[in-house]
Amino acid sequence: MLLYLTASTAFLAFPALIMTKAGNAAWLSMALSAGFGYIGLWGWIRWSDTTANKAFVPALRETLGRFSGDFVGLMVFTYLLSSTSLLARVFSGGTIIGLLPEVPIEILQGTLIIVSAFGAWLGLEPVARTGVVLAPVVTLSLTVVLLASYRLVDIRHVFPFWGLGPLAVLKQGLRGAGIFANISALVILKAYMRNPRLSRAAGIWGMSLGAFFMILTTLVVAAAFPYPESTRQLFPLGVLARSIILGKFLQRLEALFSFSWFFSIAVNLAVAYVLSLIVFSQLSDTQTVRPYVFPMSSLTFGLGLLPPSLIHAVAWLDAIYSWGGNSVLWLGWALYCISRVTNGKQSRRTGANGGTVRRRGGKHPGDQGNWPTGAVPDSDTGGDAP
Amino acid sequence: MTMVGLLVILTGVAAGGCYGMRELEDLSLITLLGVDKGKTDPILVTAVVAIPRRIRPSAAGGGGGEGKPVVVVSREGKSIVHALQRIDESLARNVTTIETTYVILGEELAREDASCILDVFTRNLEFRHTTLIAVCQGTAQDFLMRLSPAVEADPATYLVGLTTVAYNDLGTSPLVTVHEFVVASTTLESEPFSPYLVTTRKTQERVPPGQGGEKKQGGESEAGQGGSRQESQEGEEVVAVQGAALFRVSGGKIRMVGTLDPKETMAALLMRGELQRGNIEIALPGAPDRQSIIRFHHVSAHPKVKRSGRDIQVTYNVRVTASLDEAQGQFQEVSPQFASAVAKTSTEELRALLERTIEKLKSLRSDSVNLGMSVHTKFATWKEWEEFDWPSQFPETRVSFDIKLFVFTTGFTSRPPVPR
Repeated sequence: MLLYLTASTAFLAFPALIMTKAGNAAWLSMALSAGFGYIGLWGWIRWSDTTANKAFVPALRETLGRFSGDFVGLMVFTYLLSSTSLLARVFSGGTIIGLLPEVPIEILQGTLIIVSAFGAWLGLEPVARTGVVLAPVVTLSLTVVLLASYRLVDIRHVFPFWGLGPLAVLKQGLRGAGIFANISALVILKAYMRNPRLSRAAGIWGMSLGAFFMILTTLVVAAAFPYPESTRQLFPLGVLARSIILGKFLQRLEALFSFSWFFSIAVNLAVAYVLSLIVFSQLSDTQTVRPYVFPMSSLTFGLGLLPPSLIHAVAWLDAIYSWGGNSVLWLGWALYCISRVTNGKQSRRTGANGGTVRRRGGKHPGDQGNWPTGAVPDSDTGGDAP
Repeated sequence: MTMVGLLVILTGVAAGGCYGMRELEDLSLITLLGVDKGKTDPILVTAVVAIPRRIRPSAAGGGGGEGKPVVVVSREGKSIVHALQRIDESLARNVTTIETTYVILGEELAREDASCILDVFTRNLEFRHTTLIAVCQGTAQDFLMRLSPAVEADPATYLVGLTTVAYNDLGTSPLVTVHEFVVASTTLESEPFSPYLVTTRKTQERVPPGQGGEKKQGGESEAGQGGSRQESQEGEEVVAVQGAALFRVSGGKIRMVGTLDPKETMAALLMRGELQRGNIEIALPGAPDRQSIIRFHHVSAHPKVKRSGRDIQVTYNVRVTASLDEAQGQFQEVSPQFASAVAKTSTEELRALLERTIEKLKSLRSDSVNLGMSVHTKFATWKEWEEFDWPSQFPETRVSFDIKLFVFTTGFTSRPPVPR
């Protein structure tokens, strides 16, 4: 799921957007962004270690207090909701440009949202299992496109090495780190893992695979479309897919690839819905997520249609990843520092050693730190607990 | 609830394809697209529309139906799409370019500005980046009207085959997709080039009575000197690949500035690192009145760039494995000295060809060999590269060739004991 969250943007306009800012050294920027992503992930992991197996919002409340914790939780929820809405819009727009030019965008976006929201309604485990089943298909399609476009690739196109300059590369690397902000989902999902001890490894694997695909995609796009031609490609992977010829009898293969990317985005959105629903239900102190599925999917549908054009939608999504994403990515370190300070004060007050709060359970009815693992909606039993 | 959800999703996914559905029977597939300068409107588009039932091979292996397998329609318009819409008005089906394999540019348009054809390929889903592009002598309309494929029912298949053979087996023509053309025309590092096609009327060949349908060997087209040739019977048009058309991008326009002959095209392909097979003609060592063919089997060329400020020196390391394929007369010299003399002569011949070609490119200020792509690896940032201004520096660049040509066979291993 973390892989879907971090790598799905490769199918969109981001490789071209990054090239606008870093030139043909976009892949270097992406590598830097991934490096910052690892640092951000490490912050979240460190903070997560201080909160034991508490759920996300209760852990925030513990670190920041009730008001500030809820405020930060709401901020994360807003980020998830807005990025999900615009992601659906941008991908639907891309599908229309690259594959189904005569389908109304509302139909595609609606279908995508219904598929994703239905997955979220079924619960975390069905979404995760769907992701696992589709991962080889999506990985294979992406790999085939990257390999089969070798005819268009010339590695000399990635020179001059520093593109628009080291400073531009560094700036874009920092700004682009927001793309990896979704890796913070690790701490939201941790409370629902059967074995929370594996969360760290899951985070690092998700981040590594996501970073690998993003860097590779940017590199191939830079090598296939030399700067500045690369910046004119709205969906460069789609153009690469359309350029693949595997013989006279295998034509229009791009439809196959694009549909597999549709699956990827749908899983991405479903995971984002699950995360949004979890955070919102925790903020609302309710023990259920299902009543929120329909309103939230309607909200994302509406928000996704707010940008007057696809160009606006891409720009808005870029801004959300840059500013919102970076805020969320570095939030882990901020929370960790605050929790260290807070726990230090508590230790001095109580005279206890060690700074980690090991409080289990909650006094407040909404403190859901003890949600049992697998308490997500169970489609078989019709369970309604989150 | 689960079943209802699944039903809604499946219906949504399945119904997505219903929008804009067009049956194949309702489409006119354009296989070749010609673009010229118009008289009243800016662009004249000529579409070669396939008639599938006539292209379909019959049991005997020939054309499947009576009459021409294509219909050729021309209309002027303000843009390519506009002209195609006008073509739509005269056909009973919707024209589509999803199966277009070649775009042919008329020479007049190419010399004025070829950029007008590129935008639609970047924006419009029906126009594919893998479509091939070429320039023809005269107008594309004339070229396509007179195009009479000799061995294929479908003109598009014939034209693709013609240039593919010239590119793969002879090295006398480039094979350029719209993607490569767009890339070369939008970057500083290279200039676009494309195959240069000519049509001419066959006059020399005689067909014996009763054999009107057969193709005879031995004739030679006026335009086919050194290029890829298509034999034909008297009176028919023949198409030849006459090398490459060179372009230069300046002031936002993509202008054709000259041509390379087939041999120079081979040299250019060699410098681009694309040459797969080719050949040169040399005078045999020891028998200068006898010409022979040296065929290249394996060729590689790697440019080594030295930069000192604004001074650029490029040395191409060219490595060739070749064989002596044919010599005029019964010339059967067999010795290591002869093989090495053949290699030396071939090397000098190849060097002269390469130097002639690069000088021509420099004089036309058209870096169609992508030399800039190697030079720009010596720059750290895009800003430095832009300030260097490669298009103006290309003619000043010093280019040399380090050629190692190995003749692995001269055709014989021993001299016959009693030569006649």
